[in-house]
Amino acid sequence: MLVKKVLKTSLLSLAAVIATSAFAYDVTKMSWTEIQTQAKKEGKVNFAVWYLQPGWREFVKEFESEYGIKVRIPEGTLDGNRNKLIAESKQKQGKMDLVAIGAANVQLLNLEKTLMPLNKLPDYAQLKTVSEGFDSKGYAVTFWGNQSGIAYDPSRIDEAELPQTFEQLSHYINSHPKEFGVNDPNGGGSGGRFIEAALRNFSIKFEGETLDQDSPQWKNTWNWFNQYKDEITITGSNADSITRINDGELVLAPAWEDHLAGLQKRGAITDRLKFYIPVFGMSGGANFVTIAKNAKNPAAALVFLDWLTSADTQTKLNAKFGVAPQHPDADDSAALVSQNMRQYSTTPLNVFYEKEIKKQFVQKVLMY
Amino acid sequence: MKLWLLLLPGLGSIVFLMGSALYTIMIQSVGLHTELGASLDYWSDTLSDPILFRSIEYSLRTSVLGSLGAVILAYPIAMWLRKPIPGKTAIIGLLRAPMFVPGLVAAFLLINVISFHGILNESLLALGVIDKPLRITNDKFGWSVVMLQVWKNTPFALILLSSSINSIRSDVLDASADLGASAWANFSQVVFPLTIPALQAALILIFIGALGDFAFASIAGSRNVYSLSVLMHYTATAYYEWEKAAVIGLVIMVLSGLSAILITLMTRPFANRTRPVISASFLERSHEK
Repeated sequence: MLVKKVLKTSLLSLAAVIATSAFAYDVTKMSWTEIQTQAKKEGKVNFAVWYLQPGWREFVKEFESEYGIKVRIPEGTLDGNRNKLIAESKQKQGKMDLVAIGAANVQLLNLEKTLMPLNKLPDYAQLKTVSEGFDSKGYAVTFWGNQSGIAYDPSRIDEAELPQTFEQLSHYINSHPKEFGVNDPNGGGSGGRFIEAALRNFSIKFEGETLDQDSPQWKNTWNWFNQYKDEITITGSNADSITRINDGELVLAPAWEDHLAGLQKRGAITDRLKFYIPVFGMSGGANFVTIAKNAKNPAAALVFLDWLTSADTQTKLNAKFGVAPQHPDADDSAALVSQNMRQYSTTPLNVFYEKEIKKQFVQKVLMY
Repeated sequence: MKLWLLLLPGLGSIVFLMGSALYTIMIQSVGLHTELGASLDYWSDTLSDPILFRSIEYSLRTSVLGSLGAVILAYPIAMWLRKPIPGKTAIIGLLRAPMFVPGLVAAFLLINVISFHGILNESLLALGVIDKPLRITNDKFGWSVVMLQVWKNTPFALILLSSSINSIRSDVLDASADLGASAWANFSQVVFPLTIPALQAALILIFIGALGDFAFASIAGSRNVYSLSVLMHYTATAYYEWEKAAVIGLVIMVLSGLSAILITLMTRPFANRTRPVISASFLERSHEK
């Protein structure tokens, strides 16, 4: 009798699990209202983002109280999250729902087999599916805009005197030795983005050429760096550059807009420091957010993604983290740079150049 | 057969467990694990790269100076601690404190002290020694790293040298003193030769640790040259050239092995040297009196 009862209970439980499992419904065939209803039933979602996790946990509380859906932000690195997403893609149901990735990472994923198409999002038409030259083909949308530029201390340099061309920068470095810093590109991306800007300036037309180390096109750039090497302060990382400006050692140094804003909002550095995109141009881009095709909570993931990329949330992200909003209707008045200045934002070079830029900079400049 | 079985727990853990990391890195260095198959190109490319030799030069420089500095500083302290002094236990405890501070923490502490508006620069400014702050963080030569190595490793050298110095029978030192040996002659011709085995152990262990240092070099090291470990790290994680990183890893191991042999060979003659503690002329003068 008891065995029969246990068996019956087990079967009923199993049936309930199957009924509520991801395989019992297909969100791509559901209406948005049905997705919202299903999302509430799922009741939870996880969002794998590789940076500022404590800040994110705080930020998503508003979503949790508004939708009644619990958001879990696990610890993890970019590579770790991406590799987990790839590894789990062969399973019927994975453990990951939403995953944030760098723009270049979409080329490493088998989009159709790994990710869920996002055209169900109500605002899909207004969201960006291309970032830094990488097309997610509708399987990822941008949610976190980042812009490289130059951080500076306005108490030590007038806005009108900010170097806007490499000629002006050369003159500044000459007249203010050691006050301009560039971080080792292996220690942080902003240094690499500045080297990239120098390559654009001194090695025109190098795009599409072979990566011949002795190419005169590349040599021009390394020659410029070597000419001013002793007058430029090499720092260890993005944070090191900003810390040294904060400390008064440097006046100008390449930095990330969101990084600088984030540090200021957390009170880690003075509010006095400012940021600009020089006229010679520095590259910007945005991180993607995707949903795993075999997500455990696909409806909740879609609802969260809709909230995350909405104009209102993007405005709040701008205010909290200083990121460039990705929704066209968002207000970016809290950003460190004006919309007018964003015209100098360039598209980053192909990611394949990134490694070569780092290697050659170390070989031809840093340890030359 | 039985003998081999008895050896297995000890030898097996070395050959199979600890050795597996070495075998893996050796396999990786020739690209045996890749789809492209085995090749010596990784070795020839890495060994022909001038960057590697600049890194070797930098790492050898900082580790030689760091290990020598630690033992040179440890000797007089160990000699001083040999004497009965009040609060000896507390002093020894204090001297060992750097051993409990992780390398990264120590490096950040030093950076804070010597930064542009750090304690050092502010003090020198206040004293009027300088009129503008010095830029001394991440110096090209690697003095910051040398200083950190000395600071971190002196307690370790002190433990080894103290135990060796304390084991010298006092009648040996009394005898040399009775025969008229000066304090320096006592140290250089009695204490130093008798503590050579401890000195060798201290130098070898500190040197190997310093040669493979990552924490100090990555935080306080030069920004114009990478230490071998930093170069290995970037080769693997920034350039994704794991085979070449394995080659650099093996270069560090080979250099460590060679250095251990060299240190032993260079210090051994001091242990075997037999020379009269008191010069013949001194003895003659004493005899005449």
